[in-house]
Amino acid sequence: MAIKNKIKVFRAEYNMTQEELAGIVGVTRQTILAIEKNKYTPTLALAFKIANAFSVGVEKVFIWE
Amino acid sequence: MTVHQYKKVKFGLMITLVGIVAAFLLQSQLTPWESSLKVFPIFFALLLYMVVVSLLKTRVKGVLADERQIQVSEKAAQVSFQILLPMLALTSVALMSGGGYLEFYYVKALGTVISYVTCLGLLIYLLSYWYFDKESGGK
Repeated sequence: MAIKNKIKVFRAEYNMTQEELAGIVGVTRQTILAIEKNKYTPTLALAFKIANAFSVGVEKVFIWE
Repeated sequence: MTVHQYKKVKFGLMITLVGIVAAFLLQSQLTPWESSLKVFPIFFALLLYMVVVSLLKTRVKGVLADERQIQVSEKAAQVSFQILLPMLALTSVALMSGGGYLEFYYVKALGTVISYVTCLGLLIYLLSYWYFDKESGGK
């Protein structure tokens, strides 16, 4: 079991680069890349920020599977 | 100032600082502590570096360290501590027990100093653990 995410899908939908998303949520581009590749699990606060950036609930972006 | 520019400037300042410290150490035959006047420029350079870097930090636009980088740094510190402390403890025991045999009085003294440093490290760890445990809601 692990936390997966759909950040890449949402980014493509919103036509947003990693750099732009990183700027919105206040992290580095490397962190967004690490989250997308499931190499880093973000804190709850960052997960909410990312979900807010796409105007969706956190459960739509992050999935426990 | 961007994060990239900040990192470049900080690197340049660090190199300059290392150069200054090395120059003063060499100038005073590697024993600057023998005279307070010789130590002063090193302290001044260190202080100046810290002030300039902290001033530059306030002017940076962008993220200098996010939660992932902080987590990585914490892990690195933890691993360093876990490696360094047993090494120091073993070294101190070896020096203190071998000091008499080797008949170098300073070997035993060095072992004692290292053992105190090890104890200080453990004490700092215990105190900071206690503090952060309390901070995060522990009893």
